[in-house]
Amino acid sequence: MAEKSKNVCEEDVFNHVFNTYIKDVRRFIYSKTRDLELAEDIVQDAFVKIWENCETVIFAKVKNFLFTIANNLFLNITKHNKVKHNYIQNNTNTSTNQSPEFLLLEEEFLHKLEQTIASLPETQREVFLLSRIEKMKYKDIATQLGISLKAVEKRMHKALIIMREEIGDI
Amino acid sequence: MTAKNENIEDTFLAKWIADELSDTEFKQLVSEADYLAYQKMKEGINVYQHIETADNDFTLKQVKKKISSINTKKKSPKVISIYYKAAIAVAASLILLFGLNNFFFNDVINSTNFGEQQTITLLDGSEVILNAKSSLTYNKKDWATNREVSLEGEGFFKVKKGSTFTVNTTNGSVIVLGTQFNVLNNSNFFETTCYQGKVSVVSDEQKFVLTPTMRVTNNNGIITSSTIQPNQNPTWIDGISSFKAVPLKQVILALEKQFNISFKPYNIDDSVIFTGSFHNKNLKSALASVFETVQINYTVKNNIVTLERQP
Repeated sequence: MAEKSKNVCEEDVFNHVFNTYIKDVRRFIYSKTRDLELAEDIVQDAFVKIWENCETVIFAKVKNFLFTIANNLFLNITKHNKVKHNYIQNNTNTSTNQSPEFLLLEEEFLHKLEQTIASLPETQREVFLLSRIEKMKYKDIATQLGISLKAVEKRMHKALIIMREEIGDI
Repeated sequence: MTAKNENIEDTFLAKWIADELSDTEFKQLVSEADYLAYQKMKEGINVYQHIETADNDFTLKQVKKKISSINTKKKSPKVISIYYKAAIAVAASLILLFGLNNFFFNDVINSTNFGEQQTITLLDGSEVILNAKSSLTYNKKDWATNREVSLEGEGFFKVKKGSTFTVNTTNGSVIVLGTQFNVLNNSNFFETTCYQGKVSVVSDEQKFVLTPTMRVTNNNGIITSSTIQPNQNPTWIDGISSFKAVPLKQVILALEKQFNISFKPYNIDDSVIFTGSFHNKNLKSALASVFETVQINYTVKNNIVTLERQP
């Protein structure tokens, strides 16, 4: 089936589009708002609109279209409601007074972060994912991997240093 | 809190990212530039976690749910017109129709057309006034013991005191003993307003009890409560459709039902919140009163309305 003739109105094709771009759309929206409920709504509505316009969507241009719709949805909602923007909520003990814009999470930053995590050395990546994605406590990771608590912490520490070096200065 | 004599020079980042080390303590261990970079990384990792653990199956399901409710809305008007000619009039206010999906002989179905209003008297003397393009279904055999009706669209109910009276819609139910209330249900929008007595509403597993002037709205899963101006009955009974803080989409739906017009697929945002009203008698003034207040250009031709955002 030639790429250009794929019809997004067909459920198989639509599902494929969804699975291919869902992460990208999420990343795109999360770089604009940290309101999880709002982000979920925008992500869903963007795909619904793709389907509503499925007859005029060219398969090869779907990603662009998706991002444009998601962006428009975000802009329209922020215009009419009060939205929590992508300002980082600093922890209670911090004394930093950086302006919010400086700590904005750009989409490229999030993308680079993802790539950095994916290219971490295996032993560190394993600990990083168990801790940050699976939300496991270090002592539980130690038990699971059969290593000491200190070893787990060292690996995590190393992972973060590597990531800091890879990402560079913002 | 880290013990003072513990050597953390090769683990402090791990402790900090897991919130075992405070920001203040962390700040003392790194340079200013590093501190800011790590803070940004920490937030980025948080977002990364959300993306990685998001339930995409659930999201896809919700997307399909929204899509099918758009489909259902497009299909329903045709059902009644196909069988209308075969209908037999039993009494002035009762019309028997054969539904496509459910054929129950004792089911009584009352429906209104575009711009039409109808008063239905139920077997116990309770009254329902149906707004345009709406329908009311109930089982006449069961009525004495079980006062239960199904509503699509909008109706104002005047229920006689008696056994429990239930109104079922696709997005929620209203339960009363004897009272007056308005129920509106359109695909993902469900709204109940109490005019007299006490009304119990159940929607998305949440329960509310309303007294006069109270209103509860379920807009696509988001539930809010509000109040209206004290009134005997809803304004639409007197020919004025009024809206208080509802999405423009609902106003557009109401215009379609009152005037038998359809809107061309539009690119404008219909989730904009609208407060206002239109008269049900004159299409041109109704369109003006709605769209001129939200800065949208409209053109009407052969009962088809085209909308465009004002530049």
